[in-house]
Amino acid sequence: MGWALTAAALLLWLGETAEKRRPNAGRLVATVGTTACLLVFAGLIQARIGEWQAAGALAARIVQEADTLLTDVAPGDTVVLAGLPMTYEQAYVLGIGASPAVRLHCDHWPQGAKIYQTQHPDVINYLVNAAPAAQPLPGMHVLVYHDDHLRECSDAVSDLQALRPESWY
Amino acid sequence: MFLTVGRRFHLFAVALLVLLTLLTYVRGASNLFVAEDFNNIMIGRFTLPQMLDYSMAATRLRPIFYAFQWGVTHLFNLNATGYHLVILGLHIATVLALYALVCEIGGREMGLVAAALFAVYPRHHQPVLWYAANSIVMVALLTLLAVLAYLRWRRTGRRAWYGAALVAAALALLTQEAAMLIPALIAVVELARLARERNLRALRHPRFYVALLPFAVLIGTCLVLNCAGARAFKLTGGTNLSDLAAMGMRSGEAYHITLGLDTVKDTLAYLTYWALPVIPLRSLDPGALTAALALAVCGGCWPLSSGEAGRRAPGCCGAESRLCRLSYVCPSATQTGISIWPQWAGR
Repeated sequence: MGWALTAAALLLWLGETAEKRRPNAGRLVATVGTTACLLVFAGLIQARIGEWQAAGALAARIVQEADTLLTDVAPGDTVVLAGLPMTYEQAYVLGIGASPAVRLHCDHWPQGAKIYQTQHPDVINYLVNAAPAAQPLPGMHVLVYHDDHLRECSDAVSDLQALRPESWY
Repeated sequence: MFLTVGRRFHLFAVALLVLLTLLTYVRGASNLFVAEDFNNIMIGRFTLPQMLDYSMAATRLRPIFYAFQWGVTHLFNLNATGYHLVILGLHIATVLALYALVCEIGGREMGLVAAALFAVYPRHHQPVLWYAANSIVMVALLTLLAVLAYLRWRRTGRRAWYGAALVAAALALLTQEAAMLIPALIAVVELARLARERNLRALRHPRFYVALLPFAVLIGTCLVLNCAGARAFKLTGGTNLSDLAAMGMRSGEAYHITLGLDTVKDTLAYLTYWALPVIPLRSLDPGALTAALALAVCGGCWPLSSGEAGRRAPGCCGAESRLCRLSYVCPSATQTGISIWPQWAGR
């Protein structure tokens, strides 16, 4: 609001100044200046709207992919989502909303099943490059966002510490 | 035919502002949910006792905001368009309230231009296009209404307006802590009014300050509730703490025993918005240092902005003095300006 008011005062001041130099020019200067500002601002807003729409579509796609991959979650299981995109340009994508987003999308989320996220780069690196483990952790579902898609890595995790639980939120 | 020129202008201005805002933002009504939108929908799906428990026990005391979310969620469920239309409606109301306020302190032309620029200001995309940030718009609207009612009380002397100002301030404080700036904002607007009327002697009268006292008491109460609330309001409605934490709402933090430092930190950060027009905040951190710097600049510029000294200052004409004053009235006037913060500080 500060900028809007300051800009308004400036535009009207420009109008007053123009009026002093050339009678009847003040209103024209203020009107043209204001209209130009409004057009530029409105154009910039359209770009931002596009970003929020793309962010919303991305969030919806990720949640859909998670729902498809998490079909066998049982009560009491733990789900870890790694490396989800936080922002798209100036818009937010999932942020801390991934867990409720997955829950809301799933009609019957298993009782007591928890969803965590992590953005720890070591965890993401580990999951992207990990090979299937001989004895995966039971009750643990791990998804990593890589190459614009969500991928399941549950069978690659045999050690909980590799997922850095202290970085979960 | 039945309207005076002044009323015709107001009608034209209101219609123009509504149309401008609608045309600019209507494409955003089809946006989908993102980020904390989902958290808020989860909260909105609580039973009423659960929602009240959550809102009173949260680190930041925002029961009006949560109650609003709860109502909207029950109204629209998972229909994202409904949510976005609600926030667009709030934004339009805020634009009109700003128009009314600036008309009071700067004239109708200034009001129309300022409100139009505010309506489509590109930095406002977050609170207007992201439903989870609507507390910013709500608190802006309530803050403006509080100041408007206060000014109306000053003009008419009717106590009902003063009561309305207090109610709006209380609702704003219970929506978001940014409303703690209301008394300071009222004081600045009053100063602008008195300076315009060349009546700064009114500042010597205790009545000027006594009128602000109830607002200060409101703020003190909210600070105490914010600081002690997490402990004072224990869950009573059967909400399962572990369920809340498992929902990923970071609600676990809300139940930690804290000293409410978040509230103090936020308040200091909000104070920095006073100085947005003059401080390159991009290079600063949103901490106490920034707040101190902003306050120092505000204090240093105060004589320039408060009229008498501004008029005495060499080379400072009336328009410049008004510009200077307005630039300080504005940022605190509505915390919609706060939308600027995350982008400046975090990117």
